[in-house]
Amino acid sequence: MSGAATVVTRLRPFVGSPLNIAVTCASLVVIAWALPPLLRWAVFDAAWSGTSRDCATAAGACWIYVADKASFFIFGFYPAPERWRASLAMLAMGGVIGASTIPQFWRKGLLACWAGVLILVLWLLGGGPGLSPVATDNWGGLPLTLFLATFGLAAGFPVGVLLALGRTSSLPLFRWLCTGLIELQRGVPFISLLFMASVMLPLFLPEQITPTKLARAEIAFVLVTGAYIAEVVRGGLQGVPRAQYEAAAALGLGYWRMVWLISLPQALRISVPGLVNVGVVFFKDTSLVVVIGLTDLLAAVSSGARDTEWLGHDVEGYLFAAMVYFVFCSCMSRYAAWLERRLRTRHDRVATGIVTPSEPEPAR
Amino acid sequence: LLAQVVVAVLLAALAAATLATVRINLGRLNVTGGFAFLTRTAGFEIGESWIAYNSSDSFLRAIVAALVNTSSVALASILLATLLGTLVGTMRLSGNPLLRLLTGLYVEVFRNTPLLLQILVWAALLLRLPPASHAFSLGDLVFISRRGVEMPALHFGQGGVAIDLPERHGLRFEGGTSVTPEFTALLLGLVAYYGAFIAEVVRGGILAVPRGQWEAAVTLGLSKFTTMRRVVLPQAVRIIIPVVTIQYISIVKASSLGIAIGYPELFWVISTTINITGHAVEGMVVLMVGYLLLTLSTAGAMSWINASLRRRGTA
Repeated sequence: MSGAATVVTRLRPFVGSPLNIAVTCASLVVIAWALPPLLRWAVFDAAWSGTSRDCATAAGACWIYVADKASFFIFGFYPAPERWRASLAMLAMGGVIGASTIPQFWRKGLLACWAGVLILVLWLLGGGPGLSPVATDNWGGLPLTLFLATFGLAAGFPVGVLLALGRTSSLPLFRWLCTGLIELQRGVPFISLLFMASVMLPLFLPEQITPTKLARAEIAFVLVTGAYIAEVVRGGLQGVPRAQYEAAAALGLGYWRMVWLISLPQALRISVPGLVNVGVVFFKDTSLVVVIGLTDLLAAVSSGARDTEWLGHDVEGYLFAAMVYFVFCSCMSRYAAWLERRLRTRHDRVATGIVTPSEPEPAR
Repeated sequence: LLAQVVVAVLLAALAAATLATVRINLGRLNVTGGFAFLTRTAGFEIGESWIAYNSSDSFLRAIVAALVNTSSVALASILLATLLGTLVGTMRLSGNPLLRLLTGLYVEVFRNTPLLLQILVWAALLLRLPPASHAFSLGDLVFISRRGVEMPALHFGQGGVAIDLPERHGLRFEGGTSVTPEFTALLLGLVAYYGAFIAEVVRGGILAVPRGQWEAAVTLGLSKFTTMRRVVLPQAVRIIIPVVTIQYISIVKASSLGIAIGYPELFWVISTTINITGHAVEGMVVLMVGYLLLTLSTAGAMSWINASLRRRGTA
C-alpha cells in the first residue's frame, strides 16, 4: 500500500497536471528522436579496433583514429622519449591545483608551494640541469594547455591584486591608470591581445631580446587574467566591511600593513568562487593560442584531423578534446558553486549573530 | 603624492624608451608609420559582405565591411541566444524532472567546453550536409546544404513589402537571400554557447525574486502563467539586464573567433591587412578602436534599455 503511494508521489512531477503530461511526452519524444541515432553512431556502428581501413567501412564513429592519435593529441610535438617528463609536469600541476581546492590549505605558504611547482614544471618541460633541453616551440597538447592556464593564472593573480588595489586607491593617478588598463583589456577580444603580443611585442623590445612564442602568449595571458582577476578582487575588497578599515586606521596601521593584514585576507576569501570562475574561463581560452601558432590540446586535435590517412574523422577527435575540457571545467565550476554555498552559509551565521554582525559596504 | 610623481616619471620614461625602440625596429623593417595606407587598394577578396566590396576597394572599405559583418553576426547571436537562454532558463525551473534533466545537460555540456572547439565542431558538421544539388528543403522556402542556408528575402519598396523566394536551378539558387556556412557555424556556436550562459543568468534572476512575491500572487488568485508574466518576470528582468549585458559584450568580442573558420569579421580583415601591409601598430589601433566602439555601443544600448525599463516601472 505504502509502495503504491510512493509510486504515486514519485510520478506526480511527471504527470501531475495536463501541462506536465505534455512536457513529459515532448521530452520523451526528443529523447527517442535523438538518442538511438546517437548511440548507433557512437557505440553500435562505431569502429573500435583495427586500422584506418576498418573505419572506411564502418557506418559510425571511428574511435580507432582517436586511439591511434591519442598520444599526439595529449603531448603534441613533445619528443616521444621525453614524454614521461611532460606527464610528471602534468601530475605536479594537477597536484598543486588539487591541494589549492582545500580551504584548510589557504595560507600564505600555499603561494610558495605554487612558486616551487612552477619552477619544477619549467625544469621538467624545458630541461636544464640533468635533463636534455626541449624548445618551448615543441611543447604541446595537454601539458601546454595546463601550463598556460596554471602559469597564466598564477602570475596573473599578483598582477590582478595590484590592479585591484590601484583601482580602489585614493591616489588618482593609480586609479586612472589601473582603471584604463583593466577596461582596455576587457573591452577587446582576447585573441586580438594574443595576436598583439605575438606581432607587436617584438617591435616594442630591443632587437637583442626576442621572446619565444610561448613567452609572448604567456605575457598576454598574464595581463588579461590580471585584468579579470582585478575585477573579482575589487568586488571582494568592496565586500570587506568599512569598519575593518576604520579599525585598522585607528590602530595606526600604514596602507600596506592594512592591505596585507586586514583587507586582502578577507577580500580574497570572498572572491575565491569568482576567481575559480575566472580560472574556468581561461582554461577554456587556452584553446585560443592556436591563432599564434602554438599546439595546445585543441590545436593538436585539429591538426590531427588533417592527416590524410584519417580524413573525415575530425568530429571524433573534437569529441575527445571536448571530454578532456569538460572534465576539468565541470569539476572547477562545481567546486566554485560548492564554495559559494559554503560562503553563503557563513554569511547566514553572521546574520544570525553567532559572529559579530557588521555593516555592509555601500555599493559605489 | 610623491609616489604618484615617481610613477608618472617612470612611466613617461618607459613610454619614451618603447617609442624609440619601435621607431628603430620599424626603420629596420622599412615600414613608415601613419594611417595613410588605409586609402590604398586592399587587393584581397572578402568571402561575404553586406555592403558592396571588391578587391580594388580600399583597406578602409574592407574594414568597414568587416565591421558590418561583425555587427551582423553579433546582433543575430545576441537575439537568438537571448531567446534560447530565456526559454532554457525558465525550463530549468520547471517542476518536471525530465525537462530539468535535459536542459541541465545542455547547459553543463555547452558551458564547460571551449567556444572555439564548439565552433569547429559546428563547421565540421555543416560540411557533412548534402551538396547544394541535394539540399534539404523546408517546404521549398528554406534550403539547407553544404553551401549554406537559402531563405526568403523581404524587400521593402514603395508598394509595401515584397517576398522574394529562393528557387533551385540545378546546382545554384536564385532569388531570396542566403547565409554562408561560415556565418552559420559561427552563429550556431555563439548562440549555443552563450544561450547556456544566458539561461543561467535568467534562472538566477528568477530565483532572486523573493518567494513572497510568488506566494502573494498565488494568494490573489493569479494563475502560474500570469504570476510569471505580470509579477515575477518584470522584477527578474531588472536583475537580469545588468548581468546579461556582460554576456552581450562577450558575444561581440567572441565573434572574433570567426577567424578560425574563415568568416571575414573585423579581426580577420585586420590581421590580413597587417600581413599585407606590415602596419602592425596602426592595424592594432584600428582593431582596438573598432571593438571598443562595438562593445561600448552595446553597453550604451543596454543601459538605455535598462533606464527606460526603470522609468516605466516607476511611472
